[in-house]
Amino acid sequence: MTAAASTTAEVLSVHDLVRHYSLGGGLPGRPRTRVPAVDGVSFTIPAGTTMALVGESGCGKSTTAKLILQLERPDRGEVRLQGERVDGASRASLNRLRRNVQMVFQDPYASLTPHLRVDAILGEPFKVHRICKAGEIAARVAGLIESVGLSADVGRRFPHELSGGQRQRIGIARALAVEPALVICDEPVSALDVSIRSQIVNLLLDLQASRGLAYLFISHDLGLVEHMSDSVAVMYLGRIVETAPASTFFAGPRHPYSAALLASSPTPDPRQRGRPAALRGEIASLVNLPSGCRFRTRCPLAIARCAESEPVLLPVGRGHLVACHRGEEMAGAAALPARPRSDPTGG
Amino acid sequence: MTPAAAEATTPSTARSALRAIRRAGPMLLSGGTVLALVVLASLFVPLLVEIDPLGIDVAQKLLPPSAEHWLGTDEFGREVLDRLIIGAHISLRVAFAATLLTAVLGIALGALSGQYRLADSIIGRFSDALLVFPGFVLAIMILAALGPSELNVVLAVVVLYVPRVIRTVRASIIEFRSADFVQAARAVGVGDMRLLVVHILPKSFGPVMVQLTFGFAWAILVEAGLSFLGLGPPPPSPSWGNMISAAREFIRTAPWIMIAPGVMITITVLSLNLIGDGLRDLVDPRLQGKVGP
Repeated sequence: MTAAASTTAEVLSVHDLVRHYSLGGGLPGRPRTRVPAVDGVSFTIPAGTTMALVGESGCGKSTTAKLILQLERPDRGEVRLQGERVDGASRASLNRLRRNVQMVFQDPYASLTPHLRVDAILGEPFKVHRICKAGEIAARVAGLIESVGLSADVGRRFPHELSGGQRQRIGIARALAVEPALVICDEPVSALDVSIRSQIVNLLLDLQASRGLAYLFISHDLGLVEHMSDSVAVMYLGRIVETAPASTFFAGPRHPYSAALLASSPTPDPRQRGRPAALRGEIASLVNLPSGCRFRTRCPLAIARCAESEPVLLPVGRGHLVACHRGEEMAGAAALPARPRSDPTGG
Repeated sequence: MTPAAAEATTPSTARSALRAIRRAGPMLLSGGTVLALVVLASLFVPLLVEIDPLGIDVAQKLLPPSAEHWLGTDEFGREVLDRLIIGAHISLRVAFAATLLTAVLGIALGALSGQYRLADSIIGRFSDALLVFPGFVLAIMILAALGPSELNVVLAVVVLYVPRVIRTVRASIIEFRSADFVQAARAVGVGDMRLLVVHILPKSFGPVMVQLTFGFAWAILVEAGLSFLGLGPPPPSPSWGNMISAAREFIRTAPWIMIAPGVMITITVLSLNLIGDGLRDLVDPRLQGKVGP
């Protein structure tokens, strides 16, 4: 059994996570520019479930993942693991975090140390966490390799001798070595050939079923998200703008940005095909954010109020939070470039 | 070489790695063969034949090359060939010791300055200060201050060459410490020390090997130059530089005394430079013609 079966139902929660980067300021007299890469992100992941974090490139999804793993220190906010606060400065707390939360990286070509054999890469977690005796590592590594559907002889190879799919399986195996409760998957299939994506996705689903894993699934592929996740959080320029159970979200998103994302994702059924997203302009710059709502410069529904005050996340339904001044009106609004399916309660 | 092979991740880099091997192969082969001949000759000839680099025989002085004296004799009647072979010991020993010490110091200090900001600013300023001086002039200053000896020549070479190695190691650490595979290892729970030694440092071995090969060649030249100025290992020890220095007076009457060690220095340094060029092309084909002292 994994650690997921602890008494607390939530495996991970983050509260008001903030990470600002400084740009420039190297020269005297030139002010530093603050870039709010992640700006007040909060969410909770129940044990054994999958939460998807979606949004465009540069919206802070990957930074959020790094903050959770303390690969980067948050400027503010806290990460709680099974209810207990993670302290990035304490060795013990970090070890506890890393034995419970692991990550699968986006690019399997870059995330495996090129000069180490697969055996050495997979043996490392056992070594650094002293999970088992040195003599048992080989057997544990062989078990890991098998559990991700590869034959044991890949252990003697170098990463560059493996295909992209095989490498990503090794990346997954490495994450599983410590038997974590949560695995953060940062776009785990977007660097892979389309033909092997589904194999990796199915592997992730099988592992979740057999080990009770929770996933934080970072993606911009909404089709995949619908297939995999229990809940969805949409990020835009460092903030979560909408979060909801997956079924609710895909039935009727309440934030115009979510609706636009959904409308721009391809649908296999031609009759269900929505119009192309009616998003105007480029994603706003993090260096120079618009006043009020960050999305208003591209929003088809923007009104004067959107420039005046920034909307906060407010509940609009069961487990459904939206940060939009017009979120109430959004429900089932026919004018939106969303899918024809809509939430009947809002009409 | 494995580091180059390890880079062959995608077909296009595999192709460029192949190209690099094809380019580097002849250089490595020719340089390696010549260097191996020099080293093997200096090591094994004294075991097979009786060699007497210090045996003075004034009756036989300044004889031109002949069947009896293959490379002639010098002003004291010593065999030039014998001195050349033993001289290789001194020149290569100095260069080897200097290179080894440079490697150890350079990797350790480079790792420190790549890891820690404070260490970086201290070590960095010191290396900058050393790099400001023309290398050979600084070597002369050091030898003038410490006095001529084999050990001091080694020290001078180390002081002059170590900043380059420090920079090379530091640069690869800074390049790779935020790489995905390092982040991934950190996420697994690998500590800073192991991260550095197992994941990051090996990535710098290729460029460092290239630097050290050029450093080796450069050390031979510095030793020869210092000896020529009388700042190297003191006579009668037959280092190549000493032999040239002593042969100055006889360049008109007995040029063979000078030509023999001159040719040896040239082919040894040339072979090392060929090896360095070859390694560099293997390690990073983009750097063609950019490294070296």
